[in-house]
Amino acid sequence: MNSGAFTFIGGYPVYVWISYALTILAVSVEVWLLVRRQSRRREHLLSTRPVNDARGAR
Amino acid sequence: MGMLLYVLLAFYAAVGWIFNARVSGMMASSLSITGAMFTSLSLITGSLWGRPTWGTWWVWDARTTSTLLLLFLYIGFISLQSAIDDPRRADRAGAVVAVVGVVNVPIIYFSVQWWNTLHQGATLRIANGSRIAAPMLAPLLVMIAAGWLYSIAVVLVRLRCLIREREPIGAVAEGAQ
Repeated sequence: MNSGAFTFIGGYPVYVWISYALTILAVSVEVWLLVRRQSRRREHLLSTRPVNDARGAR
Repeated sequence: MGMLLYVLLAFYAAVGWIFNARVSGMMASSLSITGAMFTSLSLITGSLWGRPTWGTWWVWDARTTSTLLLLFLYIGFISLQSAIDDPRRADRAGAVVAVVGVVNVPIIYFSVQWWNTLHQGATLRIANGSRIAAPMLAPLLVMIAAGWLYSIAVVLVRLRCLIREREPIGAVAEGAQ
């Protein structure tokens, strides 16, 4: 029971802080992958835009 | 989160399968990544909690084992969809896994009641009052709300990506105008 995970930092056990860090990391990675996917798709659409497109011709 | 997202995934996969609705299949795909992420997090952080509380990182307890099975179902669903090139066939194949796997969700939920396990019983109860200290209940409810809002936002953004990727470019452009 008296393992390192029950050492308290800032009033909370270490495992609470590690859990928070892991959650924030997982969420950040998921959002980053999603944003990268969106930007790749946007680049792909821009690269395949027809030459006679009115917006592309400007 | 992982359990409820899986129920939603199975629902959308079944609707896509039965009614041949393309967006439902895409919705199921979109839900799978977030659900797998939350299930992984619950297993890892639960293990971190289990070490000081139970004295071990992992036990083959009914709740933990059925939750691990849920993660495998998510991984199986994602892998199957990735392995098939045709998105419509991938959706149908994924729907079979999703619908069969949904049986696991009530097993996870009731496992602590059906079997005498190391895992504690239900903490949040609507009918008989919650068995959790008030200072812990409030942040837990805030985090549940945050988890749901995050899931809704991420799943909808991913769904938009999927629609744009799968539908012809002309059709998307016409729809946007």
